[in-house]
Amino acid sequence: MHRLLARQLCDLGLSLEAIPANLQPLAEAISQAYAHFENEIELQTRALRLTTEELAQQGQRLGEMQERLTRIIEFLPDPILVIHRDGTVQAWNRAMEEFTRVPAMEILGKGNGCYAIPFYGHVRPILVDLVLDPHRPGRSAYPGLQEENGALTAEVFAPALRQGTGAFVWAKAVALRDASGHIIGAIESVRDITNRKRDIVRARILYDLARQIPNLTTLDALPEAVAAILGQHLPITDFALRLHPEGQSEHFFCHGNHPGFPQRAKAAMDHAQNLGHGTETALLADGWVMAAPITLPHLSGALAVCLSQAGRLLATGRGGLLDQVAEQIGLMSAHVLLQERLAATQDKFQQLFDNAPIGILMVDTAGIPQAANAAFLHLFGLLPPEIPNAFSHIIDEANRAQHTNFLHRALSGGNVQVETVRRHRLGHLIDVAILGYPYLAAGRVAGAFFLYHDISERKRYENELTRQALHDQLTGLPNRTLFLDRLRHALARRHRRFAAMMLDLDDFKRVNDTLGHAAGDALLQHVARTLSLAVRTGDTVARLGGDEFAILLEDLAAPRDAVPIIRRILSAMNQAVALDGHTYRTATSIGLVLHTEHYTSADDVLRDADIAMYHAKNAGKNRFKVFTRRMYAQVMRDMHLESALRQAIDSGELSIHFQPIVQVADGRPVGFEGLVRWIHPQWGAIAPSTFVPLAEKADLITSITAWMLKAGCATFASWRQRHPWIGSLFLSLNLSAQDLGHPNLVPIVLQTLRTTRLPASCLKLEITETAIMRNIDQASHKLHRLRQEGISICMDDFGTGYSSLSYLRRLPVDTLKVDRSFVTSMGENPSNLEIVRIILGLAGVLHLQTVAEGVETAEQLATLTHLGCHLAQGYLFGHPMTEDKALEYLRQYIPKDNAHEA
Amino acid sequence: MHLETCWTIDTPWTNLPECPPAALVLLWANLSQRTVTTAAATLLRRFPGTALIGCSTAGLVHEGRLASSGLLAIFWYTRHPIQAIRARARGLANEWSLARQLAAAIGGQPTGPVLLLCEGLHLDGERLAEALSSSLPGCPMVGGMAGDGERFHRTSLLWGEDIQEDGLVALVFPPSVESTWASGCGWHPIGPPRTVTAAQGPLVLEIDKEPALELYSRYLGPHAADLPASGHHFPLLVTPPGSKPRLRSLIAVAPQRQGLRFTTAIPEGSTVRLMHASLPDVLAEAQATAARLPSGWEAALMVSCVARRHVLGPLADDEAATVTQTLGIPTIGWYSYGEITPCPCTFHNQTLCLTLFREQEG
Repeated sequence: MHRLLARQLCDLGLSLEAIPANLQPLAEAISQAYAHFENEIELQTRALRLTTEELAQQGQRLGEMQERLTRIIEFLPDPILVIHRDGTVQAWNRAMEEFTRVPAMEILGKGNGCYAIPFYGHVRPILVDLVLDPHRPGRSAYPGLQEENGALTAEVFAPALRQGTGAFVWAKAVALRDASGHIIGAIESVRDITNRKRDIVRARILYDLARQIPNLTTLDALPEAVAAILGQHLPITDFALRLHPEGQSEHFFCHGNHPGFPQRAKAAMDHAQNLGHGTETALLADGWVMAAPITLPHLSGALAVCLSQAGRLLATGRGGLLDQVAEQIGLMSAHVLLQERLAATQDKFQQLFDNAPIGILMVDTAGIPQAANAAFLHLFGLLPPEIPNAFSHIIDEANRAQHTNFLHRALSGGNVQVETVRRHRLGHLIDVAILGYPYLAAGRVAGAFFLYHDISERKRYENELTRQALHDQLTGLPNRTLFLDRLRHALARRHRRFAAMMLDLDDFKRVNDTLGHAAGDALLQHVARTLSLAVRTGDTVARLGGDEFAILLEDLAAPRDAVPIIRRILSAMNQAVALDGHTYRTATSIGLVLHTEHYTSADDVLRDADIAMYHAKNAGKNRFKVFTRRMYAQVMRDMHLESALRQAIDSGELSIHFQPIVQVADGRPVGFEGLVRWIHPQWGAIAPSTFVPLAEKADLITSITAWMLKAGCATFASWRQRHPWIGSLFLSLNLSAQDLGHPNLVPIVLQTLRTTRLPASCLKLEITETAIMRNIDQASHKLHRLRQEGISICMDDFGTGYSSLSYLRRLPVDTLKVDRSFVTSMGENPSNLEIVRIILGLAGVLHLQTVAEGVETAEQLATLTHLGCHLAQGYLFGHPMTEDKALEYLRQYIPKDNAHEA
Repeated sequence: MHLETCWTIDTPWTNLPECPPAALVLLWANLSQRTVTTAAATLLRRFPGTALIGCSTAGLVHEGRLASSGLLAIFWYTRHPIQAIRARARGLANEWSLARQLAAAIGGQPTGPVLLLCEGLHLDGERLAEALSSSLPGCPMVGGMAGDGERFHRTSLLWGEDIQEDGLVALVFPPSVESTWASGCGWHPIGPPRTVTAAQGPLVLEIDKEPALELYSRYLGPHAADLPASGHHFPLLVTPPGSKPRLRSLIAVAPQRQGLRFTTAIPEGSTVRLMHASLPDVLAEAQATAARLPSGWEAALMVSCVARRHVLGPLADDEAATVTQTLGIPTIGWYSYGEITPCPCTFHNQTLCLTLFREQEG
């Protein structure tokens, strides 16, 4: 039980035991309540005691803290003062004593704003005053005043500090408050920032001056700019600047408030220039005149200013601000002068650019056009606003890749040159030669120039030359070069079928010879037109030379598709043409190469067309032949044969065989026909029917004829000399049509006779009537010459051609030779017999001697005898034989009196 | 809505209501778990299928009285169903997981107030309140932590017939049910402001460089032997750097480290003041809090701090009485290890929290 309850019960004369049982819980509850409240009071009492003790301890700690704070303030490096709210000075630390030269003893406890005097020389509100009373006037004395978290900060010039030189100070003041927030005083800390301020002002002035450099274009603008910058950072009242660039007149700028400043400034500037460094002259009214020289290789001058006390403080001291400003002005001036020179140079180049006759386009590093001259705009029909998009106007899609590559190379530092086309604004293409090269700035590619030279004229001229080189002037058709080129292109496009043909005019030479070259040319022009009209559009008709034409048929679905075109050509060509009053019927032989897919060379195609044409011509003219491998093989064989034949003439592979010609009446020989034989060392004997046509074609026939003349005449001469009994035997030799056309035929024959000493009467020359008819006039003339020399002329193969009796009469022919075809078959064919009879009759009328060739039987001989033929030759009398055999043959007929000579 | 109650010391239920309620809350104090589960089984046999949640307490409030021990069954009758939810903390006190479980169970449906019964010794009530604010913003959370008398040994929650010693259980009232609330404490600072100079989570080791236990021992004198219960006399007003001040109760002692454990984490550098209350001030504040609430409501929930009961001692009954009398409507509640008020969900200590309920017509 709680003692209080026990006592109360005791006072009432009760004991616990005396309390009835039903009230026991109540007594217990009262006892607990007493205990609870006692504990509660005890706890509260203790808590209050502890609180009091702890607060006392805190008070003590605060006192200690204040003492420490005072000491800290005392020894802080920054000057500090503390003002009580009543305005008296409570703290003035050592640093402040040193800064202001006022001992703490003299000022502590004093009021009435006396703490301002060491700074300003007179009483005025300072930051602590503004902190103590925010409504107090005087804030305007602090232009840069800042307030943050209840603290005031400002920068200010204090003229009384440093023995009257003044100093820039940074000051911070904050209110001191009690626990409940009431102001009880203020503390201010100050710091001398003169050097820092000086550095900042100097850096700002120099920075601002440097920043002006790009804006300056003339020297005239310089003084104003400099004055403005200096005035912004320094309290300047007057400003003067003298600049004297080498070779120019002096610039003098002066702006000021003081009446005497210009004179003082000039004197100060002269002085500074003489000294070579900054000067300071005596006071002018309330300011100091200071000057500094400007010295550069090509520029001299000076700067002069009049500064207030604060300004002077900033301008003097370490390094000399004014000297540095002067140096900067010098650099600026030099820059302006350089700019002026550059501008002049740029002007020249601009004029060159503007007036250049070649189009010039300038692009930046991204390839965007930046500038173009008038020539460029004119060349492409562009307007100045279109310059940035110039490429999109002048570049075609086809040239875009080339252009991109070109641009890239130029911007990568390479020079590039190309001849290409660019589009005019109106749409047509212009041939241009473009030269691109990079331009450098500070050693790096800063863009590129492109020069556009209009080469349209030259291209036109070149194209004309090319056209001329590739076309035939007479007909205007493509020439061989162009034809071969087209053929090569056709070969390159293998997937398309094509055919090539070659053709020439049958008997064109005759037109030329008979009607003259003018008519020949007219004919060729006519043929060119005819062929051009006969082919399809897209086919190529070319004149290869002379009367040779070639045609290229492209894009054929099948080889046989060429045939109707060829038939059309043949039909168109086989027409009558009026030439120089004559009507001429043209005809052509065509050689065609149809299966062109195996060819790799255009020359081969043309060669094979030529071969095919040759075959067409051989096959009878006015027709076409398709080239086959066999034709080629034949040509190759002919070629080998021809080559061997050329060699054969020189190397003695040819020999002459003799076939006797006898009198029909008694069978006695009166002469021999000399026949050529060729024994090849490897191939053996080659038939004349094989190699003679080849020799004719290869222009070798006259060489063979000459060889035969020489060999035959020599043999006969030798016989006559060694065997006088041979007497009047004659040698009969064949002349070909080519021989007849050969200009040296007559000299060759006469020369051979002279050399061999064979009498001309022993020589008889046989000419076919066809050969004579080929050029009747020439033949007639030559035969007359030969006849005059005593040489006999025999018309060979008479009856096979289109002989005209009138010609026969005009020609100096002695003998007619009846062709073997009539003689051989006259026994079986009455009409042939009749022809022989007529020929012999004709010869009789004309008093011509007659020879029948190919006599092989006695019956034929009997018929000829009966018909009155004079002479005969054939196997019946003797095969062609060697010289020795011929001599042996002759011996049979030696006259008796000469027999011993045999 | 209305509610009916049945109170018993430990004997079988008498006078159970006839009507099956929408939900049942069973609160108990100073009883074994076996007694509780038996009582719960009886209730569920009587009202099969009815949602039943409950928790251990540090005192029951019923009919204007405080009961230190016994069972209080509260029968909630509403027009619309009440949802019961439980969330488990799975060993660790994972307040964010609990909030997510609760939010998932509610599934974004509109709700009326949510009555929370939370494990009372291991959960960080402040963190739980923060997680609930974030997961279920605008959902009025009322209730508080379970209690264990003044033993601070272990607290239990009831879910049907299951006892769980972690997480929380809750009743989610339908949107037709409205709530309003008020809270008050009545404490004053004592001693100078101090600073927490060493702490680990809720464990405060040093205050102004002095071991925390030493500071409390000085203030408690011989009552230091009764720690942690005697610590209720001097709760801490904690002002973490940059935060608002909040009252925090001492709930355990770490004698080896000379430290004290509080209900929530107290960061180093927090300014703290010892708080003390005179008994009349505590009671006057209780009366004032109830008086601040409007009239015309149907039922009241009173959740008050075990510390108040401890400090009031024999006068503890006065708090329940003055509140019930002032409100004039059926008032039930419990003494807890922490109180929760809604909007935003806030965790309290040493505080009296009152919530009024009513249901709209129709």
